[in-house]
Amino acid sequence: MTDTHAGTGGGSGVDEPLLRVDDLVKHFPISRGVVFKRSIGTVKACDGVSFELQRGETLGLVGESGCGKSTTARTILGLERATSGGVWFQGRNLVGLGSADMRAVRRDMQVIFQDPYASLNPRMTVAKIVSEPWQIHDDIVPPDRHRQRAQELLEMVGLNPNHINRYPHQFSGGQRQRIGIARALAVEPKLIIADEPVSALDVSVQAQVVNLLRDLQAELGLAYLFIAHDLSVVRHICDRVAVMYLGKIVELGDESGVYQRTGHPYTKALLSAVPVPSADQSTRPERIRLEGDVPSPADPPSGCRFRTRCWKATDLCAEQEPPLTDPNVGHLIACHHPEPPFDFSKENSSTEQATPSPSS
Amino acid sequence: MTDAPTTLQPLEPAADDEDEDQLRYGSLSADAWRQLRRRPLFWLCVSIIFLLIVAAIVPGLFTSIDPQLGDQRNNLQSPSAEHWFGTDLQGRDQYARVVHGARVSIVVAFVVTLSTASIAIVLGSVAGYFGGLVDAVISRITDVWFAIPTVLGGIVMLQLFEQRTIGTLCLVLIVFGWTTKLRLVRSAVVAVRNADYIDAARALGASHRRIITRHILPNALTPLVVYTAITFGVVIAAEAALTFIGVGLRKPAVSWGLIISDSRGRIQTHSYLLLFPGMILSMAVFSFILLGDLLRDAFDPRQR
Repeated sequence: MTDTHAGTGGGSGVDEPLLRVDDLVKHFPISRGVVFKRSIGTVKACDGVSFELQRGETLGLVGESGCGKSTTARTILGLERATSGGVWFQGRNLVGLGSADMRAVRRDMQVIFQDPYASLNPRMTVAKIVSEPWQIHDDIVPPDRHRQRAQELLEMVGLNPNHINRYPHQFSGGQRQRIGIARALAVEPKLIIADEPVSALDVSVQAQVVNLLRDLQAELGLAYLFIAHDLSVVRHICDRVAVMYLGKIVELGDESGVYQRTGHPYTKALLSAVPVPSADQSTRPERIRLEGDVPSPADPPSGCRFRTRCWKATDLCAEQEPPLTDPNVGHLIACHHPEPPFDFSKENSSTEQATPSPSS
Repeated sequence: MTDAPTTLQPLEPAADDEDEDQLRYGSLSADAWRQLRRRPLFWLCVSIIFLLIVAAIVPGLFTSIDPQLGDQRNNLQSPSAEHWFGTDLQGRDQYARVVHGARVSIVVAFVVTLSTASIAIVLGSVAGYFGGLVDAVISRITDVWFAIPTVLGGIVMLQLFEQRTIGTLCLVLIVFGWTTKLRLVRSAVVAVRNADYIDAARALGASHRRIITRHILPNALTPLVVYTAITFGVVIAAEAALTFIGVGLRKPAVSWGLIISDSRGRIQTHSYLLLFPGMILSMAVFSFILLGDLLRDAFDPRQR
């Protein structure tokens, strides 16, 4: 992928990914008591997550509600303090970075939130919302050009630039999300973390916003960390996909690999729930219904976290945590008994991999 | 009493110019203002408060009589064309005294209310926004302070002062008057603190100061504004009460509390001496409290 922002890259090496998340852990203490708080446990929202994101690439982060997707995003953004692990962005570890250094980093890393009704300050006009980034980072746009540049940004995200003096509540959900995108673009970032950017929108509007994000990526060379619980949306926009379950990544790889040579039973179950818009239902894998609820992240199961709902679980799964490795399918899977791939050409090799992974 | 205008509203045809307003402004305060300006009670309260403020600044507009100048030959006269509210024991014009007494009440009301609101905004937003230990310390001190009754605490504290001026009174009322407001601000800030637009501002690298002043306070101050209007009335009443029981201002100062205190021995024989200042005091308190209620209704979207 061509890197249009290479000139402002800031001297990071060619091989260095834009973002490298390294064994990131975020635990929330559960405390009790009004005056004297004492800790009675921890919620392991994000428990050892690692992935890389290249410039101009889109990585989808998928999982059920409460699996830790948003916590991962918030920790990368520095909105939550990481318990341990590292977030390497443009060759720099953001964990433990001072607030002045962090402020400079924020010019290159922005966020789009899920709820367009909660992510815009109701007391500010669109002009103020979109130009606030330039008041915080006052070297981007000179004050006398704020208005003009804000109108350009509105046009870029497909809004009427004459609506610049309106308040957020005078716009529809999709339009508000475009305002949020314009605000994120105002600092000319290299990475945008989109935390379920379309899941609060109508289906017809979802496609518009996803297409807008794709067009912006082509135009500006943005990288996206695209968080979603909807696998079909992710497939539409992502180059690579990471599937999360209870604070851990269970499958990570190219979009085609994860979707066509699905290895983890959990991913398979998620994919089987995606509606297929086709008259020919024969090629469709059978719908897998998962039993029970997601276990509490305060007390996750031993070994493999998915074993309590997995139809292939064995004693090994309870004893040993499966590492995230590549069982010769071209992408990473954290499972002792990975599914045989759909891909018929690789069927023979996959039967061998149905046995427990030798490593760890 | 507020029911009648509310039930009438849906029947009112939506005028064209109001639709335009909706498009142009449409913020919460603009909506509130649109609703308020249609209510006669709102204008009544505002007029009374306006007259009181004018009387406090230039009492000469309402009376040319010196409130301190007594004529012993005219003492204890009933209300007449010459002396609207009658005259007191020293033959001083009661109307002039009530007009001049407005200054103390209004000054005390404004100083105390604005000071307590400022304390509440600063400490309340710091406690609510930062949370943790800062919040625990501020909140626990507030809780302990909150347990002291204002008037009782005021009586005890005022005993300590030899000279009691308006300043002393204000100080005492401020010392015991900030707790409720602080709790109000803190809880409103806590409710706004975790909104996505606050996270968006943090992700942009906004400073704590910018986040509090630009994002949190504009969205968290409505309850304080409403409650503050009510406390104007409460403070006026508290000043009069403290002065009445003899721990507030002393003669020769002119204040409503002193006037009412002077008249208490003659309630049965010369009731007008108590009636008129009492009525004015009640009217002032009532106007501020009613204004607070109207503001609360207008700012509460659930009422619409």
